[in-house]
Order: sequence, then C-alpha cells, then structure tokens
Amino acid sequence: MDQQVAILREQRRKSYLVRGIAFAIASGMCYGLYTGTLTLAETQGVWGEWFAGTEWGNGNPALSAFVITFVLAALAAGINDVFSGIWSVIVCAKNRQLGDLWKTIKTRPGLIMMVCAIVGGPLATIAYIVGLNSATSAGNPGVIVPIAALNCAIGAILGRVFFKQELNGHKIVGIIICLIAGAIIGGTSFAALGPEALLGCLFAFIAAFGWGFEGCVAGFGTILIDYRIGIAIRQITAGVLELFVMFPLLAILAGEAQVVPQLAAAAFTSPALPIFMLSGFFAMPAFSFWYKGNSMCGAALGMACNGMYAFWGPFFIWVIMGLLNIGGMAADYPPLSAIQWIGALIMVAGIFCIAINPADLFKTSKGGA
Amino acid sequence: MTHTVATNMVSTEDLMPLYYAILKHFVDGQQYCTQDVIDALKPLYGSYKLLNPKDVEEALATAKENGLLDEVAYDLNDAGALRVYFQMNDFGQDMVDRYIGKYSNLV
Repeated sequence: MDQQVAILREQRRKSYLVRGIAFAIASGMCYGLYTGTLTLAETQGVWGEWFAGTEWGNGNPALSAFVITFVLAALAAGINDVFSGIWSVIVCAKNRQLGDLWKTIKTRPGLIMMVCAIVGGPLATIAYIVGLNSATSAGNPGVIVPIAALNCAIGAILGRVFFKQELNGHKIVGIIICLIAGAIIGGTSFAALGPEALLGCLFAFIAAFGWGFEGCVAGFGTILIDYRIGIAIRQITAGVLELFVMFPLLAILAGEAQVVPQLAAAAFTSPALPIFMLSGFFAMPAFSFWYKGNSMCGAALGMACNGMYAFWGPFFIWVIMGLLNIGGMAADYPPLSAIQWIGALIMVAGIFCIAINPADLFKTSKGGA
Repeated sequence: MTHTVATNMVSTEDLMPLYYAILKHFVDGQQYCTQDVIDALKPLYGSYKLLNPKDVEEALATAKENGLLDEVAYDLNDAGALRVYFQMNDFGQDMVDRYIGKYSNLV
C-alpha cells in the first residue's frame, strides 16, 4: 500500500505543477489577447481621431499632447478594467460567491488587495497604456511589451526581499534568460526607436515595477482570499479609481477639465466600446490565472510563465491587427520575424530553468539508469 | 463557547467567507483531509457551491503551496484514491492570527 501511496503522490505533485504552469501560460496568452484587443480598440471610431491629433466628432478641437498621452490612457485603462471587473463579478456570481465577495472586502486581506490594486491599477496599468500608446505612435507597439515583462524579474526579487521566497541559482539563471529573450523579441524593431518609443519604454518600466510589486504582494495576499474573489476586488478597485479618479484628475492637471464629460460621452457611445468589453474579458483571466498560477507553482515560476506575454503581446497584436486585418491597417503591423520566434523559444528555455533545477534532472536520470 | 446557535438558525449572512473558514478549521493544529474539512463545514456552509471535493482540495493544495499548511500524512480511501492530510504550520498560524484571527462564526 505504501508503494501505491508513493506512486499516487508523485502523480499528484506532477499534475499540480503542470496545472500551475498551464494556468500561468494561459494567463500570458490572455495578456497578449488583452493587449492586442486594447490596441485595436484604441484605433477604432473616435479613438482613432483622438490619437491622430485631429478634430474629432463634430468639429471638436484636437486634443492636447498631455490629454492624448495621459488622460486617454486613464480613460482606456478605466473602461478596460471596469469591464474586466464586471466579468470577474459574473464569475463570482456563477460560483455563488457574491456574499463572500462583499464580506471579504470588509476584512483585512480584502483591504490589502485593494491597496495592491491601487499600485497595480491606476499606477501600473495607466503607465502601461501610456507606454503602449507612445510606442504605437512611434510605429512599434510591440516594443514595450517585453519591457513591461520585466515585472517577472522585479516580482521575484521583491518576493525574495519581502517574503523570503526561495530564489536559488537556477531560478536566477532562468530569470536572466527570460529577460534576454524579452529584449530580443522587443529589440528587433529598435531601429524605429524615436523619442516617443523611448517615452514608451520608460512608462513600460514603471508598469513593470508596479506589477512586480503587486504580483508579489497580492500573490501573497491571495493566500488568505479565494483567487476569484481577489481578482474581482482587484479589477473593480482599479477600474473605478482609474475611471472616476485618475481620468478626471489628469484632465484637471492638464487644465482641461472640460474635456472629461465630452471624452467620457464619446467613449461610451463609440463603436469601439464592444472591443473594450472584449479586452476586459481577456484581462480578467490574464490576472486571475496569474494569481492562481503563482499560488500553485510559486511566484518566480508563475511570473516567468506569465512573462511569456513578452511574446504573446506582439504576437496577438500582429494576429488581430495584421493577419486578420481587423483594424484595416494590416500594412502597419507586419508579421513577427524569425528572431522573435527564436526569442520565444529562448524564453521557454528560461522558464524551464526556473521550474526545474537542471541538477535535479541529472540526478534523477542517473538514479533511474 | 458562550454563543451557541442552532445551525439551522445561522444565515449565511453571519458567516465568514468560506475560504477563511477552511483555513481556520486548521488552527487547532490537528490533521485533516479534504473530506474532513467538508464534513466539518457542511452544517454551516452546506449551501455553498464551492464546498465540494474538487474546490476544497484546490484550496488546501494552494494553502500548502503558499506555506500555510504542510502535507503531513497520506493514505488511501475506500475507493483506493490518495487521501492527503494537511496540518497548519507556525507560519500559517501566524498569518491566520494576524490577518483573519478576529473573524469567527460564533458557533
């Protein structure tokens, strides 16, 4: 019987690791889909006119550079996150968790979750969209994604500092390999690098830091909260703050408070709205699978698998905008180059390094021989 | 316990979230498997959709992966399936005490 127990234990351990990795990878893919659909949404209807810096709607004056860069980023982030919050609450309702959701909000772990959402939402998500938009206008939306993927490394390092999470040699090597792969994927089109792309990279780095912090603190906070409830708290907090605080606040900072109702009305009646609903739909599993993957296979491995969106981001931007030509601008979104595919393979190798100590693998195979 | 309430009188309104109840079931330091936890919580949380073997197992395995619980024993149930017993460690006791220690169901 002991032998049977040992066999079943080993099967169970493997399936848990595999499921954790599967969730974390699925999270990265959803992240790519979220980035791709959000990029698409921001080219549609009135959004296209806003970013083009022309008159919009029925002869409204062109928006100022500050409004285009920051106020629209907050608006886009807010619409996206509010929709993903709504999707998350629907998932909770399906599991009949709405009572627990409300009760959890009023407890201490719920509060920690909301604080994390403040760092990860209004700060990091808006920074990410500022980065994405700057890079898009520089003709290269894919470039900032791998920089934002640095949050994998930042999260693992913060996890080591704050929570004494394990970070031994092979994990560090794996993280470095992932970073190099991210740089290869993003760096292929650095030829087009202009000041706007540089600004994009800077904001992508801010996003990376915010998400890295959130990943290790919220991943830790969800220990005490069901992850489905955690994500609903996170997305609603972030969306509400972005839409109802950051969006008007940034417009006031720009000295253009009058654009708030105009932009909001135009955005919510725009034909782009269903695309935001779709990007919000993908953002929901992007975050909840990330939390789940982290808690199933540890923050370093979870975040590295999630960090494959360094590849999935540019990939789905190309599929949606280029291959499927949904935005009607296929020429601006060429297919991924061979070197980007190679970068993706290197990243898989890096993730493998974080997951499994190569020394253990060697030991096992020797023992089995 | 000074508050003794017949279980059928407790509305789910008064209960702490299920996930807290699952973790707090372990604060007595004893070993429990998934089915033990379900049986213990059934009187109060019987109406909860997520109080089922698959989701409770996932909750326990997640708590273990996060360092709150340890896997301490294994055996086979009558059907020949693996049964894992969990026990809360010092870190888990500390986390529960610090963050959700004050919540209870008063029963």
